[in-house]
Amino acid sequence: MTTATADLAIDLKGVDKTYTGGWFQRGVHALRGIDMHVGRGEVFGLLGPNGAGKSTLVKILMTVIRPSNATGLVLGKPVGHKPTLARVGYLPEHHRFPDYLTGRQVVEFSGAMSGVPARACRKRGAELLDFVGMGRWADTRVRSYSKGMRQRVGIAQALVNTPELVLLDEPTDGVDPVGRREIREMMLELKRRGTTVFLNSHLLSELEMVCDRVAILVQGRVASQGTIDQLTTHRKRYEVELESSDSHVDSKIREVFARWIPAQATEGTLPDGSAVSFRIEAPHQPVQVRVGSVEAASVQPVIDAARAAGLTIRSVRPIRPSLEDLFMEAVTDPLTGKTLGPGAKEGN
Amino acid sequence: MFLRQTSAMLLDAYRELNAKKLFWFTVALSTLVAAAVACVGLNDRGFTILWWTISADIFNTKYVSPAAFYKLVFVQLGLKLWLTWIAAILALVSTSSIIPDFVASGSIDLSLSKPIGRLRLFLTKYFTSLMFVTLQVSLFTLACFLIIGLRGKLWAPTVFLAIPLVVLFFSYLYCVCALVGLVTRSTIASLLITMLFWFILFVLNSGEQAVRTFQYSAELQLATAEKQAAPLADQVSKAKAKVEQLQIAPERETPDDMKTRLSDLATEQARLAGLELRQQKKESSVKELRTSFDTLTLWHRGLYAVKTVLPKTAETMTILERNLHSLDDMAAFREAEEKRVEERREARRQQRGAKPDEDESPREARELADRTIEAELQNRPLWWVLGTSIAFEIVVLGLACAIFSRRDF
Repeated sequence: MTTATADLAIDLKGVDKTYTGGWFQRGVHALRGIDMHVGRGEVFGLLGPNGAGKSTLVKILMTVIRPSNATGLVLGKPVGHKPTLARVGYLPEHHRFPDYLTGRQVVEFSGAMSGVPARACRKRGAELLDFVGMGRWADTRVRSYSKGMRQRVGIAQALVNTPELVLLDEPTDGVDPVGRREIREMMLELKRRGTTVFLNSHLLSELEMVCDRVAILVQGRVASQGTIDQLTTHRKRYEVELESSDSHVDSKIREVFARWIPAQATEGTLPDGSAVSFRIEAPHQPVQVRVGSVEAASVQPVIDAARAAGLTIRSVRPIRPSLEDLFMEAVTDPLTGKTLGPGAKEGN
Repeated sequence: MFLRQTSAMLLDAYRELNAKKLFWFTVALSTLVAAAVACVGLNDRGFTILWWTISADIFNTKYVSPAAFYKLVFVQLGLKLWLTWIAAILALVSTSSIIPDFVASGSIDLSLSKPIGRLRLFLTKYFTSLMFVTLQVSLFTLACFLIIGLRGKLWAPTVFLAIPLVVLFFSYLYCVCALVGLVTRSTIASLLITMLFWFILFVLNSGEQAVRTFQYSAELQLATAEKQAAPLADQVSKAKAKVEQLQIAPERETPDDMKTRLSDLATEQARLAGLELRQQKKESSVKELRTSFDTLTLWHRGLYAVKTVLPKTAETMTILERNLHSLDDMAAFREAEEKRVEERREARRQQRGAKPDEDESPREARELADRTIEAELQNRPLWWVLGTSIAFEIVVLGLACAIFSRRDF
């Protein structure tokens, strides 16, 4: 990471958290030396399976949980510096607003607690409630709201202090597709205004649409971190789908690719060094050839060889792995091939 | 920012109360109680309820001024019964959920993520939670102030002392409620444990008062027994001297004189034996009374020591009473009551045919002991009543603050 500290909204080094157990219980090591950097003005996504430590990390940033060890900065101040929280907005997961308050009162109370002057709080509160589509219901008590409505009010209260950094824990939880789209647009609008958005969500497709950078947390450790492009570059490839009327397609394919793929193998190397492989599902079924390169030039020898051998080319597609693919790769044990179970590791 | 946050939390506490039906139910009940007090009056034959008169020996304008009467009703009915029992229970039921709801998951995250220190957050929440009682007692006291002023023709601002005292009394219990609520996060547990704590305080207070009354009675009985034993010892020594004197025969004693002397000696010896027996019984009785007194003193010291470290709910409420009693008309009422009690005592003495300086009957002794102990309880030092109670509250709150500041939510 070469970004200067001043350009970072969050700069964490070695964040550690161990929950001490009871009398006869072992402690749980929830976070194990988290290093994380979030640039100012970017939308950052935090991913991870259940119990990976995502909420613990967010709660440490918001001083709800005390870290066992943490050296890092939030908006240029040490983690846990209370006055800085006046410049931070937060929407917790499973939040519970007092049900005797109206939506407007929830937003205004949040603003007051962040030190926003009363008049500004009223004005900003009304604007935000309109912005999240709750203007009509602003004076109705929270107890009669649906989950989606509560979520919208939650977002409004997180933004009432015009924060420089906003942490949203599952912001689209319980929100209908229209609302999700609106929330996505709202996050992009926040980004345009220069607000840093730290997003914690399970909806990978949504994160993919809005996040500049992501970090994947697995069992209390950052498994990977970077822009989606950075994380997927080495996994990008071309897929060529070939068809043949010949019943001995297997031998024909081997013959075509013999110069690059050794006999009995299904993987080899092209002249430019790119990896090449093929997969035959069944006789008379299209054959898939994969070229491990993002360059179109790399795939040309494969196309030429196929055409020369009289094979029909059904499609040539550049393939970019999805965030879900990255996520699954991160949570899969490379040795056993099994997905890592939920929860943090016990003990040290 | 400090004022903005504090005023927001205060407004939030009011909104929370406003949303509770029990708050308005208690306000309605307070209004009814105040109206009931206003309906009661006093004339020269007794007290009146609306337009009916109920004859009473002492509750009439001959003995008591209307102002003193209304103050008495305010203390006995409004303060001791309504505010410190019924309204306090309703307040506990109503406010016991505040801290468990505050620290509930999803709710506490929102509060802790604000630029406010944990200690200030918890203490502000705690003190704003006392608003229920503050509003209730303020409304009720204001109503009673107006009633005493309009019906008793006495504007006594002293009654407003009830506001800090009742809030203080409630806070002794509420600090326990807050601590339990914080630890268990359960409304039911905090309410039940606080009620149990209150019951223990009540039992302890009643026990200490009863033991002190017994101790005082034992002290009186011991003093009386010792007073009676002292002349008996003198009589025995005199009788012994006389017996010794009669045992020695004069040099020239005639047979008649000897007969008389021996007869006197026998009489004197019998009297001495009787006196010695009485003395023995008396000494044994004194010894028993002393043992009993010592045991009661030991018990009382123990109970007093336990009470010293716990909040003194009953004594706190007597502070208002002693302040009201210091007023002239209340003093006159007490004098009238004492005079009436003395008249009844004199009548009973005459019925028994006893002399005025004779020992009082057990019932009168008990009455005297009760009155003395009541006066003693009312005159306990202010530092002991308030100081140690507030110290208890500070310790409990300190513990709660330490837990709140260190806990991961």
